[in-house]
Amino acid sequence: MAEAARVAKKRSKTSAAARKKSAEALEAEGTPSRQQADDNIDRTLGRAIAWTLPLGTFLVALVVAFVVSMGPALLIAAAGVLLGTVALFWASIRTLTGDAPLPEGFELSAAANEKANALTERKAEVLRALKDLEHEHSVGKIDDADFQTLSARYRDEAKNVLRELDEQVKPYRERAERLAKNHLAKINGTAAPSEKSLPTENDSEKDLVGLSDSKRATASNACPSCEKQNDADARFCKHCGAAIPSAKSEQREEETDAHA
Amino acid sequence: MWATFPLFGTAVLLGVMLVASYTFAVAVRAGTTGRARTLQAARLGAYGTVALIAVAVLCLAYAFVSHDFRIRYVAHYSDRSMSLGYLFTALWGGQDGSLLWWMFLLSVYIGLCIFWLGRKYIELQPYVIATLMGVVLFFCILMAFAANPFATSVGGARADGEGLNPLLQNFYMIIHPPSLYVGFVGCTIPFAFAVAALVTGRLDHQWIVASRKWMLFAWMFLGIGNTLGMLWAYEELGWGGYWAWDPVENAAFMPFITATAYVHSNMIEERRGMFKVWNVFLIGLTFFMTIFGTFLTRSGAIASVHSFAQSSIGTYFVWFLVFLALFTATLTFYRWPELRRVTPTKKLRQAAVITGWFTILGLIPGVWILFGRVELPLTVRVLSFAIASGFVIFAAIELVYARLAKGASEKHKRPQFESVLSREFTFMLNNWVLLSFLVFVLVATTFPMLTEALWNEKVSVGPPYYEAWVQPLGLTMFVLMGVGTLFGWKKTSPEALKRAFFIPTLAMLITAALHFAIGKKLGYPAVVWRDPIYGGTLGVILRAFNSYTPVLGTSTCVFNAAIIIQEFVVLFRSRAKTGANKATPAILWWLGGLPGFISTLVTLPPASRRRYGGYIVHFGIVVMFLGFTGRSWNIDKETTLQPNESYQIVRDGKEEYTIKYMGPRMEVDNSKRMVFADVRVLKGGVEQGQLTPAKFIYKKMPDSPTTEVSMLHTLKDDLYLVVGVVNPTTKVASFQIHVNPLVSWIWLGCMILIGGSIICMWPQFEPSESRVWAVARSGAAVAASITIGVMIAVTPAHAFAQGTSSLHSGTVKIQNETERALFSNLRCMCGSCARDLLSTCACGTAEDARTEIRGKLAAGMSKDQIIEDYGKQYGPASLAIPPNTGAMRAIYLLPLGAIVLSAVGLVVLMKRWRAKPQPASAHEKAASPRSDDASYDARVDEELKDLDG
Repeated sequence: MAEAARVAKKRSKTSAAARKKSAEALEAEGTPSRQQADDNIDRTLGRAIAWTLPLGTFLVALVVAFVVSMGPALLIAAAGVLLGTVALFWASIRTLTGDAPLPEGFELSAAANEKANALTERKAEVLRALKDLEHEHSVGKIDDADFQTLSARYRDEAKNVLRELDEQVKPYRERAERLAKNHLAKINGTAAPSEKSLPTENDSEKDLVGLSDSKRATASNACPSCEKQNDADARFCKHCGAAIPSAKSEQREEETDAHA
Repeated sequence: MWATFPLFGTAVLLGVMLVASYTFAVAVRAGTTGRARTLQAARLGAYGTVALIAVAVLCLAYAFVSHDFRIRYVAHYSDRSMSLGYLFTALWGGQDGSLLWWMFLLSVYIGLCIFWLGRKYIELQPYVIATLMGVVLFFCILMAFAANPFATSVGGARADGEGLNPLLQNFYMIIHPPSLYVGFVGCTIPFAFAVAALVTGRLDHQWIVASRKWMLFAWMFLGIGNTLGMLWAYEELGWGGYWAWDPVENAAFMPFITATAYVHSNMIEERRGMFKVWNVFLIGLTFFMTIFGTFLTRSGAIASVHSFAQSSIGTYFVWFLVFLALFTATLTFYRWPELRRVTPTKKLRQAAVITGWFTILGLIPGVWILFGRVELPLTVRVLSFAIASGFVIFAAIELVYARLAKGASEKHKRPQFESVLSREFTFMLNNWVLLSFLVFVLVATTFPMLTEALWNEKVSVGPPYYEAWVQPLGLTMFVLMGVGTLFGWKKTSPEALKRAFFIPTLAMLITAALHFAIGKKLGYPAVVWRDPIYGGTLGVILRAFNSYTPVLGTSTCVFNAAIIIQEFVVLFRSRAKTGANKATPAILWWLGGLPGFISTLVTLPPASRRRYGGYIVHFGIVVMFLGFTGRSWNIDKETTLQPNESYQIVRDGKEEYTIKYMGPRMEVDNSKRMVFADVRVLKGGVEQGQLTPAKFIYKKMPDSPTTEVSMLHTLKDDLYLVVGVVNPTTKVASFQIHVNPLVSWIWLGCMILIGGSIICMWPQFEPSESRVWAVARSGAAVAASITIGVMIAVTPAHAFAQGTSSLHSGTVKIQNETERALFSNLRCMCGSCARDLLSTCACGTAEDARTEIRGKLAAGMSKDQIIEDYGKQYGPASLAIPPNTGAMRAIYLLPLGAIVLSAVGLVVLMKRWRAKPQPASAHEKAASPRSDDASYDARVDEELKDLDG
């Protein structure tokens, strides 16, 4: 759902005009669910071609090779692969222009990609060193006294690195917590939400995108007039059609972020 | 379309060029913008490029099957009588096709790599794709402009093609080049990762881990390819040996050395973050070596048994090599701060790039002078080169860099070694020895090119030279291989080290003593004296060392084997202590032990699995080394027998084998006449088997009958029988007999090596997956990738046609040991079989030369005199060992100098990296516990549990 919403958002982003469209026009262009259906058809079609074209080509070529002769079979295989090439480049260009949907979750995993960081690297090294020392000790390459000194030294360093890492994420964590708190407070002010549903949704969103992307913490959106839940980037409630002001400003902020 | 099919093929090739360019551009864009959408487009484009390359291959296959003789390549390498199987193999039989085959293999790798990448390494992906597309582009350009397999014959279509040279239609000739290709091409992927890491600046562990797997795979195939090459030479060439230090063999061997070095040194980077520049250099060098090897093979720059029709593609390779070197160097300079772990600033970057280029450009005038563009005597040229380059390097570092980087902070945490007694240090030694070996082989291989460029003199470097020098180097490397495993990471306690050394050293000494005591009685003496290759002290030293090779070989083999066995014993003992060995089902142990052993290894945590898999690889090398040692005790005999006559092969007065010649037998098939000599082999009166060495006389080439070797393999030795001439009337046959001890161990060792590599590559389980499913999936993945690799490698392919070579045909008659020693120092100068020695070349010119030399010997001339005469008559190129005079000494002085210099460098580095004892204050600080210490302790434990062992 979130994925579809994001794709829909991307679409609206591609043309400036779309952003200005009224609710009716938005309806006409396709609601997120319709968009999602289209994308799913696209994906299913792509998957079908990816399976049937090579398989079909191979089978037909095989049959021809046995029934007729090798020459035509090779030509058929070449033709099949050529078709595949065309399909692949067609898909590539469509993807490039933003016409075709990305594979499910591709963008998300791209966003979740861990950034290089001297500290995390150091952490991996130190942990590896501790593990190595353990192994060397178990196979008797290093005696007890040396093992104690060295592993104590590395353990201290590991703890220091962990501390520093915690320091690094501290502002992000605080910000995320603050946003979550604000949000909860806002909801609590209008209506009493079921304690369970909201925080868990927040949590899962946070896990997916990573701590740095703390804005995702405010992913879900309640409509101010009917109080029903909407998608994170919804500008109009999908239940009553009323405008959702807070989401809009949130999205704006995000867009400016993305441009920057 | 029918009338223009060749044109269509060319169009497809041009299409590949086009789509590869598109993909390249999109991939670079994806890298610069970091957009997932663009990356996906690049991925799809890469798949599309792979598919289009497949179309080109299918088109060429169709041209072969439909006998489209308008295409020059098809007409040259096939004819109408060829079977379907051979038609397919002709697809990559010649130069133009083999380039397409190379690109096809590369495309298979690209496809697999992109699929494997999936959603991992998102940041590196764009540049990995771009680099791979760049390499594809190079091969496209090569084919489009210099070696188009779809080019049409000038004379139009012929009625029938020329067909394949029957000499090449044999099994080992078919399989060894492609398996080397799989290794060669595989080195492209790690290179792409290195470039991606340099471009993105993500020089953390990520790319090291990603590229290691691919490098290991390529490494394994390089190993298999080299061994198959040995097997081919041994089984088919008929001169009784397996490795001749031919330039092309060396070219295939060199990337193997650098890949081995990388496989070891990347572990240090993973653990310490050191050696970043070094690893990038090693990967670059490995890729460079594969292209360089191809260049050596294709351009005919150095004469060799593999030398093929010379063509213009050599120039393209040279430019590509230059581009590669400069490109990688510039990237490395640009990332210099990151590679040195210094905070990157614009200033430092600029300083590094400018200094680098200043050095490169500054060296050009020196090289210009050195290579004789200015008329000066050689000494002056060499001296001015040395002075000029020394000055440039000094100026670059002290003037340019110091000035540009002035004020920039270069503080970085200097990497520290806890102790010299650590695995890190032995790995450094390992890299040093491997690279020394590489430098040695590289200088010797390119020496003919160098001398020709420097002082216009052709020389040749033959097997005797390598054999004399390689033994000390190889043995050092071998001993270090064992010693290194005794050390642990970080620090090895001296006491523990003493314990670990005790048993292996004892085993080694006992073996040496035993060998001295009873070796001679068994016919395998501990010391075998041979003729020195040089006069003077150097010759004496080399000779003395090499004479002791047999005993050194056996004892170090035992030393290494003992070390490896000891490592495994310790491992299993420690597992028994912790109860970890219960994870292996007991039934596997009852099934003879081996299944249990392998299952334990495979289920070890990844880091340990790689380690112990590596030990298995080491064990394979030990076994191979034993096989190489056996060479010292070869027996080579010649005899002429009448039907029903027997000949006894004796070693030190003891019977090894008796052969009984039963008589000739003739068979005929469609393409050839076959003359077999039936021989019974007896030992102590008991029949061991029947051998049928033969001569095949092909209808297409009645003048050069081929020699078919017949062998009796045992683990102890091989009886290698070649029939020379069979007189049709008297039925008298001449035989060459070789008894080659321990050769089978080489092939056995290679199999163990493959097994060890597979254990190293065994994929790890994802903790979230169900175990059974994970095992099934990963096992299937390994099995499939290895099977596909082996299939590609073993799919019949022919090496290049070499119509004029005397390979594999005719036999050489050598009457006594003096002759053998003499002939193996002289080269055949017929001009077509380029580099063969008089002792192995079977062509007419060689026969004439041998007759002449026999005359001289009969007249009482000494060996040195004859060699000198021969050298004078044909020039220095006719001698297998470059004379030990004047500038020719550079061939060993250069590598020796480099080895000594790097050793000094190593010592200096080590001194700098030795950790100083921790200052007391640091200790105190560490000792005073903080309030949150306990919680962090728990977290460290947690993290350690998650870390793959």
